[in-house]
Amino acid sequence: MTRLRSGPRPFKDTGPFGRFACAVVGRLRVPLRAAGVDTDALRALLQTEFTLGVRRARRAQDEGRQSGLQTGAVLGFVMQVLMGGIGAMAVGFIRDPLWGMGIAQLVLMAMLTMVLVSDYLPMLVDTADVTVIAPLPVGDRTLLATRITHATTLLAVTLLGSSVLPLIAGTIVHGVAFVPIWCLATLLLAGTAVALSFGLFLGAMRLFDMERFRDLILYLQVAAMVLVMGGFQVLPRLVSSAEVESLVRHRGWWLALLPPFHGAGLLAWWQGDHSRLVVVLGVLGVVVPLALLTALVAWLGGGFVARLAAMATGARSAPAPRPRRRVFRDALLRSTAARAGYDFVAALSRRERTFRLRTYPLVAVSVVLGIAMSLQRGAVRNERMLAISLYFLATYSPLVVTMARYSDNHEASWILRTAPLRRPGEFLTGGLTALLVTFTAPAVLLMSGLLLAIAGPEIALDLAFATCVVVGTSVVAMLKLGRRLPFTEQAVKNPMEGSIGLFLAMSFVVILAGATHAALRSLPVAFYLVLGVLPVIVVLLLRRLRGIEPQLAVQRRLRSRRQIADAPDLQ
Amino acid sequence: MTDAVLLDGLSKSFGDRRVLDGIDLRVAPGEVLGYLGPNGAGKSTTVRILVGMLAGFEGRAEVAGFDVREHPLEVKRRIGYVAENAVLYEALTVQEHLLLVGRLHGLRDEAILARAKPMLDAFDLGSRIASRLGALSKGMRQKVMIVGALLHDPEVLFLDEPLSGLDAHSAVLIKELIRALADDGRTIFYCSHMLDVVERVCDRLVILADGRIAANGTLAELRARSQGGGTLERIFLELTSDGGASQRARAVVAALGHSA
Repeated sequence: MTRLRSGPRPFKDTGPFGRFACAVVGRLRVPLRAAGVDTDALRALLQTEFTLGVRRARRAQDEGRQSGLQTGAVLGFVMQVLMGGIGAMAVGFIRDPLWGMGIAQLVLMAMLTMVLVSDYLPMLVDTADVTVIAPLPVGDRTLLATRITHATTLLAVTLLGSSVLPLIAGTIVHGVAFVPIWCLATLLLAGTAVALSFGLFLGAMRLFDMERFRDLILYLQVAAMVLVMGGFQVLPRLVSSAEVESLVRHRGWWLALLPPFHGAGLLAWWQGDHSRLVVVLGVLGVVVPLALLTALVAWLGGGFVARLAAMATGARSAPAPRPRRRVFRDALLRSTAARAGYDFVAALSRRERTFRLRTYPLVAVSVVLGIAMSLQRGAVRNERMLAISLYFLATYSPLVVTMARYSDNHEASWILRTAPLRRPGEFLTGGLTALLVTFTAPAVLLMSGLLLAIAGPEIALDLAFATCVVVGTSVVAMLKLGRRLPFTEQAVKNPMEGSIGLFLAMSFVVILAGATHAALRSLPVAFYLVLGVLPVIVVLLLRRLRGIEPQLAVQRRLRSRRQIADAPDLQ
Repeated sequence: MTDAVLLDGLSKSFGDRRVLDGIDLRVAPGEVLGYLGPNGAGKSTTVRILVGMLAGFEGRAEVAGFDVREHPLEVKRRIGYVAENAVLYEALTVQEHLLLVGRLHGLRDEAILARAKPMLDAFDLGSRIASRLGALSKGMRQKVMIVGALLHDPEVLFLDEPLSGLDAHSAVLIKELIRALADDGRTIFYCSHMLDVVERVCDRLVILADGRIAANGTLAELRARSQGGGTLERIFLELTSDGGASQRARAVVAALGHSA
């Protein structure tokens, strides 16, 4: 590449995955051009997107923004790897490669859907760079192809964690050739998932005006998450293992309808199975994602830039919201700064598009998972143990708190940073209280009401126990993760910082809390003793929440103590 | 000859609010048009429609003979755009930004850099080529945006408050540049509040008020039509405001709790 002067090579931070995506685009020049994509522009945009992603993540790390999240990201990754264990067992123990890899890819698809819906679907309708791109000669289909390629690549990378164990098992059972086949199948599966979901969104974009679409995409996401995750949890409980076994015993053409089995067809084919079904599945594995993606770009890509631009500008015409009565705010908070923080967070958590897109679907899933886990073949499990499903709500407070750091309009953070707040912590307390009142409390009440209706008043004490744990966990999450001024930071499109990572990390807490609850239930004295102590702990934690200080202020104080005069300004 | 810019009954609403209301306008090639108006008059909305950033308008809008709605890519290939509040990818370097913009215009890297170098040097940015855009001042970013807008040698240049944040030397350079580009046959569509600059560099002035054209002509023609005559500022205020600035200022001070 030509350089103007000596200095760093331009776009040197594109990264290996970005370079891989650009290389693939180079290979697919002919079909992409046939679909109306300018491949040179596509590569230029991809290079930019990947470079920006790498640099934003690096900058966030340099600023220490991710320090609180790193543990979550690591736990999330561990959970992803463990989830791959189910796939590894399928690959390792089911001798038929079609069924073994098919089931493993099916598990991967559940993971993929969660990640896609919560973290990558918002990328399709991201309007942050519209002002840069819209005046440039970038065709609708080229921009759409950029977003699809970017999302598919990141999605495939994110799934690497869940692929570790299946890859080990597959290599042992089927040999080294399993590795490229699995990776190809995973990439193609990601392509199919992106094509189907983006297709749904683009179709909706054409049918509805932008005002309605903005709300609609949220409901679509919530519905998709609930359907897939609910389905994955509920179906196995409604269908007996004998029914599943009889289904698995004979291969049927219906397998062609399940994309995870297409990739498995490639493995079976490579292993010498040349039956018609396997050949068709293998061919579908390659043809379906490419055909779907090409059709998506060619047919639904028209007018994409204009629609994005309309989304970016449409907010100005949104009707003014009705003023709300803040009964809880006034009862819980006294100072003006705290009330200002409450109003600020309550308003933006309802209106910030990215926040809504990245949190609401997983919030819905927490509730659905809780209900689904309590069912067994349509009937209620051990009624007392039903209360344990309330613990699923513990997953979402850290998620909401973390995502509340980021804003579509983070440049406006100067307003908070320059405000003469005598105690910035009061503002933060107000904001976190708003999250407790508007997110945690309604979900706990809704779920408790539902569980009481199902199981009756005998589980009231268990619910009280679980409620204390959920609220306590939420407050701990706020104390740990919520020490940044809300809605002031730029979101980083980094797979490890996604909401799904935190969601998975918190699953550990759910398992731990559920197991402890079950164990205590068998020791009545201990259970009642802990039940008596828990409210006290919650109250103490809530008091600590009142004394919280933003990380910025803490760091400033530390800096002045250590007299680090030339440290980079955190603002 | 094809008009550089043609607006025919251009209207745009945001919800119930009508921002542009039947704008008819022709701009000839090589002309420098000053597009003026108070805040909210519809200046930026007009430009955003013309550069393809805003859809859903009524009427006809053409740039360099191409309909904005029907042939947005053809329009974008022929225009350069400098926005008032330059939103750029702050994590990119100056060089990377220019490479991105140039490549999207179909230029080869060698051509992009060959054109960029003298322009960056002229703006005293030659030494900042490897700097991240986020590390530059507002004025420097504005200069980078101007270089990016000129890289592909556009037929029509849309400038929305281009002097925003620029130092005096750069502002003078831009004014000279506008005249030189116009002498070389490029059309300049210049939106600004800085009436003295507009007065000096523009061939013709259009004044918008409440989404409609309140005046259209050369400065001499506007002066002749104006009741008070005199400066452009006087004409502008006469057409766009109901006066009473001193009364309003007193009301503001009174709201602070002091008697004015």
